[in-house]
Amino acid sequence: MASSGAAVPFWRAAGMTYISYSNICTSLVRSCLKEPHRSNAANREKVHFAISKWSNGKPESPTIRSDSATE
Amino acid sequence: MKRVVALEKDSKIDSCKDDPDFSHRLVSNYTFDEVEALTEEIEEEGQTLEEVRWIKELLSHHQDESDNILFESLRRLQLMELTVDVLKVPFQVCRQIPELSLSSGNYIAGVCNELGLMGARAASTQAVRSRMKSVKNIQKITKAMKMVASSKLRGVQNKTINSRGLWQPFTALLGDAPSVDVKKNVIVVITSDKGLCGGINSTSAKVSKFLYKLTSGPEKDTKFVVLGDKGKVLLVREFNNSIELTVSGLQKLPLNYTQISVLADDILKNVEYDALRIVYNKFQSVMSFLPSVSTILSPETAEKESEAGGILGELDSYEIEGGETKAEILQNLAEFQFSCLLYNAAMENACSELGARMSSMDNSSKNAGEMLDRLTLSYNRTRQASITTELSEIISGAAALTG
Repeated sequence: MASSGAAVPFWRAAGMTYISYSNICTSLVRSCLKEPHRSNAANREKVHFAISKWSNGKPESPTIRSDSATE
Repeated sequence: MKRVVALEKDSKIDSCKDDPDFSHRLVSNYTFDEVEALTEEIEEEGQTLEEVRWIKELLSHHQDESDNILFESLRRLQLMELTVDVLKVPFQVCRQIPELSLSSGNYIAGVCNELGLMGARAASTQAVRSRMKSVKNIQKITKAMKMVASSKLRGVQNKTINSRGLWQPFTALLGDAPSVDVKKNVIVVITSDKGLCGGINSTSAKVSKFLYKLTSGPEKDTKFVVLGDKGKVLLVREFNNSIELTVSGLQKLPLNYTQISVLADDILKNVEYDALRIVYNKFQSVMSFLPSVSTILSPETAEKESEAGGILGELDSYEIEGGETKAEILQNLAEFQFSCLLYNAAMENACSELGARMSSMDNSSKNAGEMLDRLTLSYNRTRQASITTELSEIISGAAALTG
């Protein structure tokens, strides 16, 4: 069982998580599609929600994450 | 036609009422037939039988009775709110009884004219009538909501069943450890934004409260991440100091993996955890939803558990390609596992929400229908009671005048 010795992959060194890495790869693959599959796939990419952090039992003003392409 | 029918019904009525007067009347068949037809139709309404019998006898002896009493009886007919077919009869009655029209004909004819309109006691039944109207509207709305929910459910159900395949390999590889004892717990509660969906949000809140009590203790730290407005409202009173993040507006767009993974990313960046527990309602069928908890361990915890043995201990038997270390693999896997499980949980919860909304709207429509029946009965009773009151007032007034 190796501990955290070996070189980390470039994306983790840049601060991304595996999830964001895979999402970027996914959007790249989606942009390789031709119509009409491309617009069908674009529907599966839409993101919209409002997230708000809480501190000391009070919510701060929510930030809206609304992007059609991944982060 | 009506006369023939009335004559036949005559014998029927004779037999069921046993009134000896019938055979000894002095009126012409003409008038009596009309009254008989009138009475027959009124009988179908049922509860006004006694009063109608009385009126019929009065009218059949109309030469003997005073004008006032005839007026009362015709007014009584007016208040019974009879159907249009029946109303034609007394109209003809008035025109064909010359005695009536000669004496206080205008008076009585005027009353007969009004027989098409509502009775005088409409005001007191107005409240019940407006209540009936609103209950009917509510029934229509709940029926429509049920249709909408059932049509949405079909689409989401397919996606949910497909998404179950995402976490099955993870459970096969890493096992599920709900009873793991760690220092930092983060409870992710999935609820809906909109209401009217039965009890699913309250059961999720109950489970998460229970989990909180279970995992709290000395040196232990439990935090909440709430998805959905309903969960926020339910948990904010007790646990507002333990809430880390709240998310809303998830249901504006149809759920897709990208959205959930971005959300998972945000959560992972903002909280520290040793174990993540997702609380959601698993969709068994349209009627039944199972509150469930999925556990995801952080990579460090997974390492610790694998030393202890069990399924995680067999991770070593897997070959790792690509020159990455086991710790790295575990970290990637943990993140991906969280994203997949969150996606599945969100879909299952959406299915459960739609199913719960369907069944609760169905129940509401049924209840509204029952309420409408009860209101109709009480409306009729009120109407007839007020008519009887008015009638007795008239009679006592007339008796005072003539007596």
